[in-house]
Amino acid sequence: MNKTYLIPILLVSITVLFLTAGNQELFEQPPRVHTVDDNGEVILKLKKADWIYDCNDCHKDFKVRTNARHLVSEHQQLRYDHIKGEKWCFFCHFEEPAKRNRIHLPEKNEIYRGPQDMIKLCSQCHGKKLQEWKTGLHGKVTGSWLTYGDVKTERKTCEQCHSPHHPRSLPVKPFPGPGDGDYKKSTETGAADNNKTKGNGS
Amino acid sequence: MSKEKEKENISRRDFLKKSLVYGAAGAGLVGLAATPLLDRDTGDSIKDLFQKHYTKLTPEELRVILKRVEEKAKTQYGKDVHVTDDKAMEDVAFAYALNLDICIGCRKCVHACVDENNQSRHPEIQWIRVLELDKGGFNIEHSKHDYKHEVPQPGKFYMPVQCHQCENPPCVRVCPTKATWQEPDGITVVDYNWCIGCRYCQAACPYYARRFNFAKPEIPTEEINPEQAYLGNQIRPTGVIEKCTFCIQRTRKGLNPACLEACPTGARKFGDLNDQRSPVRNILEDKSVYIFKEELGTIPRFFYYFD
Repeated sequence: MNKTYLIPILLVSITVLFLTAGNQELFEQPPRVHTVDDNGEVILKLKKADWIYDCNDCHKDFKVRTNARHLVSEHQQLRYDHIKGEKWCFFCHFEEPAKRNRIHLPEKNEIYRGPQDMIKLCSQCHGKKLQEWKTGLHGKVTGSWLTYGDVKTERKTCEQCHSPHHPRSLPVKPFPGPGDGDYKKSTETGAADNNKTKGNGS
Repeated sequence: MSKEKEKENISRRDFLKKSLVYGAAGAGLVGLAATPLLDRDTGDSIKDLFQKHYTKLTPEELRVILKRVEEKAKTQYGKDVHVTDDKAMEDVAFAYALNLDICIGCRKCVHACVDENNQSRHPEIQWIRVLELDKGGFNIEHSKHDYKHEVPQPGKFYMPVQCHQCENPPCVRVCPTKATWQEPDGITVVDYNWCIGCRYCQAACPYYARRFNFAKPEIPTEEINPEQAYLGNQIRPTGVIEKCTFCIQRTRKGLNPACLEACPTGARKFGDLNDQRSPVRNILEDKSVYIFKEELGTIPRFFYYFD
């Protein structure tokens, strides 16, 4: 791929992203599948249509280039907006091609073992947010407002609301306002996902 | 006049005949004029007229009334509903907090509320109204609530407004029949069988929180929420006022309001002010809190805050 194709490809991919922005979910989840191997490590696999493939399938053949640059041939659906200019993929992903499908924690060089480790990973920079998340101030606490007794509240971990690659969400089309004469069912508001609004008194 | 008709002395027989005929005709005409009342869609039964005020009901009478509400929903909307009446939990003072830094104005809360609380689709009723304001101030007069563009727009922030369940509510003060009052846990409720539809409360509310049913509510049967509360989301008849009740049918069972569950960004926080660990209490203690129209002295239970 020589440089003459760089700008048109970038323009096309950005245009496609903007055109599909209105139809996206509010928080775009990267197409990934997690599996856990024998050591208890989480292995990332990517999903493209129906094809689930391991990062290693491609990266074992590629040279390791750690300089920050625009990705043009693959991973174009990725909008990388997190600590832009300073940190790049290898802040979280391993450099060695054999371990591209694993995430490491920068400070302690541990391996990512699941959503509870995501909290450790993100809170290395966002410590204040972690304190607020623990008390229920940050993020959403669904299920119940009670803080005592046998309550079933659900908390989402960081990556379930904020995509690690582009934490800021894209603008969305709002639901109909007053006088528009339209309404949305609970399945579309997302309220149906959390403990069912339709009378689930427990 | 020269020619004056002689006033005849009408005989008793004639009088009786005439009065019967005219009386029957008159009654028939009055009945004819009153036929629209037969298919009235107010949904009230005569027994609703004669029920006592909610605060004076015995549990037996309340049960009968709840049954009647369930039957009304069955005949008018074809849906089997379950109407309950949970009393306020002890020592609970509800409060709602909303993070203005995070709200993006998507209106998912509006529609989750419509769905949960059985609001009329035609004519459209939405209890929550989201205002779009310019950053840098609280210029309410120039805010917009009917925006259709993508959100969030740069330079704007979004403020959803619903009933604030004020501690010093103007709506309760002006109600001529005491159909609306504030419950011990802080929720201002309306007894739809007692409301006469004068709309004084709607005029008194500074937040435009109350909505009036100008016509019989139209709700698709499959979208009716069957878990209903008598003072909350039972299907309202024509001619009564309704408003946000902090999802009284959910919160009195320990659940969150529907708007909180729907909010995709987690901007809404709900809890009990008497509970030390409640996030709402933390917000009031630590964050910069804004009270909408504070100068009116309504002392709302709905707080806006910034991180």
